[in-house]
Amino acid sequence: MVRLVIAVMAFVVGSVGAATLTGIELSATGVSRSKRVSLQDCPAGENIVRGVIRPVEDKEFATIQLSVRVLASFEGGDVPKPLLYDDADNEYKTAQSFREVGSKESYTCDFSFRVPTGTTLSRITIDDVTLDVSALD
Amino acid sequence: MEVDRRALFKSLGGAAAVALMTPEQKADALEHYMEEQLNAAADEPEYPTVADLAARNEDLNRPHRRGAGFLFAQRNGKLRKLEPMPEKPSLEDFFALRFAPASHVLQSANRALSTGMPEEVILGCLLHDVVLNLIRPDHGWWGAQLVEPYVPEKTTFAIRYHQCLRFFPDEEYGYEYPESYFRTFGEDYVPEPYLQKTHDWVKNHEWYEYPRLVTVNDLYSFDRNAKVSIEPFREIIARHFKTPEEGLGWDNSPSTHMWRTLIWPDRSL
Repeated sequence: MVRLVIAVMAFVVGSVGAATLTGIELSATGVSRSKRVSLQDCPAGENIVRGVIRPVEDKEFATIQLSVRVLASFEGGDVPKPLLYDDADNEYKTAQSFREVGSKESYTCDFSFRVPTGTTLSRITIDDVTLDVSALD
Repeated sequence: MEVDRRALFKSLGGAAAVALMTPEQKADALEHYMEEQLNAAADEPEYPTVADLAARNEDLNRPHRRGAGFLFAQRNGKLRKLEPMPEKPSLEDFFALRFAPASHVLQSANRALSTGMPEEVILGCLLHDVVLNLIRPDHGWWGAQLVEPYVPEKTTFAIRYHQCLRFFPDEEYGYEYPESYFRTFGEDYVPEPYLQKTHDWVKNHEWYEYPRLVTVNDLYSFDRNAKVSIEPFREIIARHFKTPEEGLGWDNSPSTHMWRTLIWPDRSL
């Protein structure tokens, strides 16, 4: 029940900009599209690997920029990978992960999702938090 | 373009390695480094095509063919000095004396360990590329053959098929096609039919997740600054790697000869 209430609160707050998940304030601040992206974790480490879309694929990466602020109430632990949804409610996964979330107080991260070219984006979810990205695209 | 001297030296194996390079090799290395940096920053970097890469193979003055294992080829313009192996070498001895620095596989296994993956996968990550010291083409199959007598069947399966799965993105598992493959195989490369067929078979196999998880960890194991060691994997090796009493290379298993070749890479026959 508590979880449900938190989820509903997160959605309401998230849809207007920022939301809080277990001691982390999250907000979506931008959307970009490309054929080549960094696959660094969040917050970014030193991993040099980048992902690409091959010329034969009619796909692109939709990259969501997330702003993260670690609050004093953060107790550590894993944060699930974000999921992206389009306007038809199709779900997209990312290769990237949250790692060592509490290692910095605040940072921005890019999470990239492989989507069909031109997909209209709707929202991104991280566990119970939902952030509207439709206006950013 | 500003060159980060420390990063450049590090990418070449350190100041000592750079000191051993000829002026021509240094110039080549600098050019390659700058090209990499530019490509990393560029919106649309230029990649070779399959034909471009085939043309490079026409150079018959190369110090080795591209498929030569790391032990048999010059790196940074020089062969590596190899210390003799102990009488009864263990896997850890090979890591220390033949596979070192092994940073990539240690990072890969470290990530698998820290994300709570099954021990068969962690061991698979630890061993998935060690055969590159011996030979590089089809390294999944060679690598599986090398360790098959000593590791769980799922680990062998993971190592054998990770190579093939690297060519096929899988959104379910969060595996992307790596940009480095544009450079290694060509931007227009299409996996050969044997890879396509193998992928289709493995994709429908009940153990698909084992090689797929090796590829997922493969993506995150190229951090040049990562500090890694074999220490966290000692217990997993003890539990799952059946070290022969006689030592690797002397136990008469089907892959003994491969370990012996790693022990004596300078034998000409």
